[in-house]
Amino acid sequence: MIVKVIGAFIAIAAFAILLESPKRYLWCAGVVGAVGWLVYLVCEKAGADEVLATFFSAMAIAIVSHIFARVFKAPVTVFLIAGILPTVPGAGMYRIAYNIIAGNSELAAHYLITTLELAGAIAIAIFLVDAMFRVSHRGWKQNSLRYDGKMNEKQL
Amino acid sequence: MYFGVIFGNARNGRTVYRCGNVKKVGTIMESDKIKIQGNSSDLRAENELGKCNNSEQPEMHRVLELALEAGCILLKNGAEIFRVEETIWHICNRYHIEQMDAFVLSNGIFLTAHQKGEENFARVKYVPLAKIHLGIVTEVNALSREIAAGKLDIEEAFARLEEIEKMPPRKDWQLILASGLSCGSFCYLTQKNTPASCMAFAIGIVLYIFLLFARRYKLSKLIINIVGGGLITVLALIATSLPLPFKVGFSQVIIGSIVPLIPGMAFVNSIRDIADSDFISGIVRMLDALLVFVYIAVGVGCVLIFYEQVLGGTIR
Repeated sequence: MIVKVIGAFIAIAAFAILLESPKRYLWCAGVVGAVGWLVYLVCEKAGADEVLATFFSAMAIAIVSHIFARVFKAPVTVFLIAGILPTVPGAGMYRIAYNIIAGNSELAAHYLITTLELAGAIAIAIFLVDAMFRVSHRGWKQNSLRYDGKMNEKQL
Repeated sequence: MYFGVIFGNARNGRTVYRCGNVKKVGTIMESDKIKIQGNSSDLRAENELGKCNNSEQPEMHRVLELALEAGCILLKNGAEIFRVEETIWHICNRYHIEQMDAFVLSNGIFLTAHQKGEENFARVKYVPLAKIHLGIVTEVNALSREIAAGKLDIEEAFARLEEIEKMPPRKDWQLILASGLSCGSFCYLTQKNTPASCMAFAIGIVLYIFLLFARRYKLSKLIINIVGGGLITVLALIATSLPLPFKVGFSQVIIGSIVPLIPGMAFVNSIRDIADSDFISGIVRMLDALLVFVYIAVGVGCVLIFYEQVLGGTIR
């Protein structure tokens, strides 16, 4: 399991390079990915199905990236786009295409529905966390450009 | 000596005033010899004369051009809609332009502003889709914070923006290596099969070389993704049919090597745009992500059909 989590770290940090994230945030993106994958594995071990595990994992990823965005004062997408990658159902797409070609239209339909469910779960997780951080005390939008007096002092 | 009287307001150094019997518009020159009459109501004019001599307030169209430029760079490099809108709003707010409206779509910015009796500004900017560069987004975001905190004057801000826009992408070999690494380790963490990850590593490298080539010649998204999907399928088929001592499944390899093609940015941004109620841009980007998925599936599918039905092979 530890090896897998390290694998996730490397995969996400490398993907962040492909997105041209700034160098100083690469390891953060890696950490986000590793946390997400850890949650996924734990959920799987606890017997949750794929959709639920993806939902929790996406939620963990979104929370950690929002926290990082506030700590480092960087856009949340720097962490989120790379971090969310392991949960994005890229494999599902392949399976749909494969089964359509192999003539298993039932399996293809099954995978299509699963893929849509996964995408929906990720979307809901991101929605929820966005909303959560909007209500939280540090201003409304993530990485808010709005300044309150304290933040200004800190920056100076 | 005869002296003029100031009408109107003197912000931006643009003033309506009378010099002798001639009405003039423009910056007050010393040669015009304006006299400020000593009533209390004219003290305002005196203040404004002082202001226009300092010329601290930049001209409105400069500010709006700065805001537009910053927004355009953000949008081009993959920021969300609300970030673009907020950046424009903050820059305008910092330089006291209150009557301003910005409307941002996923590939265009509409910006209008006016100040009473002075200037109007209206601009539509088309923003073509370009390569994602989150580094630029981060830098512009930081710049906008600095502007909002009042640390930069407008010319400095322009200079910084220009500098940011010229930020170079990473070196090709770094990108290629990163692509290989992400494919390999992604394959490992979903499939737990070391030989398969090594193959995915190699395929990722080849795939990214193709992607760089395609970008250099500005191929369309459709072609890039269909050919990219086909390419990884061909390579995975070759790799899995090599006579090797260990067993490697075809799907294991391909699930890993599909990673650099996944439209993560379009997917995440579309979700966040919809969450911010920017429905038009959100749906456009969602469609973008969905189409890329379909293109990849078509690419993979075509090659598999050819392999199974023309060459008569079986997929392991």
